[in-house]
Amino acid sequence: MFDIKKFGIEIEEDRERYIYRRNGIEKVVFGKKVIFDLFPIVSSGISDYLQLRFKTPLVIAPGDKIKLEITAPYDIEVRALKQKKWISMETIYIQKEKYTLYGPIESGILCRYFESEIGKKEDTAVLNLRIENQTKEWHEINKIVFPANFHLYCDKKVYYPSLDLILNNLGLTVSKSGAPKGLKEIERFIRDIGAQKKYTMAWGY
Amino acid sequence: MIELMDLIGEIESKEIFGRSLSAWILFLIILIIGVSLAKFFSHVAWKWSKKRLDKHGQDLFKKIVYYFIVIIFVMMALGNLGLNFSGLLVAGGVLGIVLGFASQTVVSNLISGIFMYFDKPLKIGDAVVIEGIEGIVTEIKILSTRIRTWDGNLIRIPNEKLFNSIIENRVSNQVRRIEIVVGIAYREEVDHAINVIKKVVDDHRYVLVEPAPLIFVNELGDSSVNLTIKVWAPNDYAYQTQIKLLKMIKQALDKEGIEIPFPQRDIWIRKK
Repeated sequence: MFDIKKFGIEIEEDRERYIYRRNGIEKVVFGKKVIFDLFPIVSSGISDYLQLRFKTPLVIAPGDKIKLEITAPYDIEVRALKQKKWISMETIYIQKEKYTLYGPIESGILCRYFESEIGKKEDTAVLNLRIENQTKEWHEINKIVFPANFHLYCDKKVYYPSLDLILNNLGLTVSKSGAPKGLKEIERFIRDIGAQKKYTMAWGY
Repeated sequence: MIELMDLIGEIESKEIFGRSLSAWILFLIILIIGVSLAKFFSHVAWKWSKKRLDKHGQDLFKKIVYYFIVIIFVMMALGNLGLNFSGLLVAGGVLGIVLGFASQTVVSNLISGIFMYFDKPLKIGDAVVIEGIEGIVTEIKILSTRIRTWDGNLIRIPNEKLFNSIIENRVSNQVRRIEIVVGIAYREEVDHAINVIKKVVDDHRYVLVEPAPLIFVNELGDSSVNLTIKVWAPNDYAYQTQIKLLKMIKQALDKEGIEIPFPQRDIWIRKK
């Protein structure tokens, strides 16, 4: 899916060693028949959470359910592989790497930040949302926050697992609902940060 | 056999400081057993507390168990020597006053150490500023706390002093604010300079989107219009962010031809 040459990666093979070069990074990899490949990931960087802020807020009518596609960030990890085992050479950030704090300074959580739009866009992943407003009031959603411990899915684009957003009297709860239709998850993308599948946004949305 | 009986008899009859040699040997045996048991039980206590207390609490609990057992065995050993504790009470009263004055600081440090354990103003590994001393907490002991300053020196602060000091703990939150002041020449357009700096700030990966960065005119100085830049960054990256931002802001202002002035004096030479 990703072309190694597109990212300016140079791999020099010399008998039983490989020299990996990109943008001033140089690593010598020792081993026979090592393969270098690119994998889409969501690099947490320094945080285990992701915040998607909508460029245009979503306003949901009372009692309504909606489905929509939004854009989400992904990064590329360069891996050296041999016998199903791999090591990361580096992570290439496709979108701007930014962070934000969700919540108060004393107890808020640090999140990877991305400005999301409705629909698909080049160089972004696709995230399917199902939003259900269970209250009798109108609600405006400006951002969603969720733990970034998910699998990614691939065909011609990179996909996130689908997310369910439930608006009720407790606030907004984000939970993973499964794979996008017709796509199989790729186990290699798992990043385990605990069994958290649901996240209730305690500090507003 | 007879020789052995003679040896025991000799030990029984020999006196040191008014006590038989056998009493002194027993005194030593009790002390050795006491210290060994104290070591063993303090280690058991340390293991037991591993899942229940933090590192500082573990160390404190271990020491309490150790000294408690040692004191009991010392008293047993002294009792075996025939030391009358009721007689010691009168002497102890006087000695207590003397020791009380002498060990006032030690006890004060000890009590402060215990209070600090419950108050938890800092823990090992925290970056702190205490009375102008800045560094990393490397050790919290029962009487004192050790700080390794950024230039590598080790500073011991008595717990009593620490307990009464203002402690600035720089890692208790995940994020920290960075403040930078940049002066621009009076002839420069302020809004343009703010926009240039804002772009630099927004482009930096570790400058947080929220809390939002603030850039504003803070002072009309003697030689420059001083702009203050307040941004938040993840705690672990705050220092490197500050260093990088300063350099990037200087480069960006240079590129835009915005002058950062230096103090100037016009000197008039009076003609006679």
